Amino acid sequence: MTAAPQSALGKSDVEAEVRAVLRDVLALDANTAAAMNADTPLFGALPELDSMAVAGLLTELEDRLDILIDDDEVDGDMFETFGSLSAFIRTKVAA
Amino acid sequence: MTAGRPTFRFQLERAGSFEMPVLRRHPASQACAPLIVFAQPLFEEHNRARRLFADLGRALAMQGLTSALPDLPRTGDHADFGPFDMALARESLAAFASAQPGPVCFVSLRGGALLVPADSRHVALAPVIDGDRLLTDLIRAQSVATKEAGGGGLRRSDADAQWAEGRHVHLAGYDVSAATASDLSRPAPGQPGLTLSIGRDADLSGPPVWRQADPEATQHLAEEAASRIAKWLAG
Repeated sequence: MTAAPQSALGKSDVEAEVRAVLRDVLALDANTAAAMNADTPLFGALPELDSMAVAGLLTELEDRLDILIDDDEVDGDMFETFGSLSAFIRTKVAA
Repeated sequence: MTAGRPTFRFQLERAGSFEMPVLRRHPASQACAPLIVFAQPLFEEHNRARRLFADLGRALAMQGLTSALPDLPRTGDHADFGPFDMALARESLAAFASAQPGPVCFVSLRGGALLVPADSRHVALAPVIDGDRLLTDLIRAQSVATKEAGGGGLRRSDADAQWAEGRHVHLAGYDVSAATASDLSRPAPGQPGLTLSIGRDADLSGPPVWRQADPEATQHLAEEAASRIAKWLAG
């Protein structure tokens, strides 16, 4: 099986991957992960999302989507909501 | 392979010049060779994977295999609490394997693969191929924590500058020495005989517990891994 080029990933594919990584890294139950929408708050709202988890999330996203995230790009706004995190990852996948 | 209710023993063991706490799990009936020696992940991932190793030891015992979980110097329950030292960890793991009366097979998880001696029988679970990625994780975690506290974060170049001066860098609760940072940037000593990925669509189905603050249950993952390891050893 040949994997699709990452640049061919659509908006929903990226959101699905971000959702899966959030679920795996934060050990969220399936229903909580599935119920996330663009406005769902992340940093400050999920007790599981501490500094180690942020680092783990970024590395998992890099590994699974074959992207590189510069640490200078990492700030609180990125993790404000599920929508803001997905939007940031979409820009990296498209780059 | 024989099934049975496993037993375990936790004791201090001497291996060459090293003394380390070791948890051994035995099958109820006659054990098959080789002895499985676990190489645990590094830094915080070590703590998060402890439950998985307990489950894995029990599952391997059900396959008729004895396992040993040594806590290497400066990790886990070892009495030496100094900053983690890659060279010391590698040396002590090799000494532990050499001190065993029979053949051994290493089973590593994540960064544990970087500790296994070259030319060893070795099954690597979700191995870290590039140790530098572990440093990236730690630096990121430290940077986020510093920013949360109102500081300016920590860049890789900041850490590199401190290591260049031979200083330790405190990263996410761990002092990382210049020597260990340098060791992590080098390739693993050897290639595993069997590599098994862990994930939802991977060789072994399960969560990345090494990333989870509250690791999920891993009994199913451990049983799957033990079965694959036993088949590989028998083949």
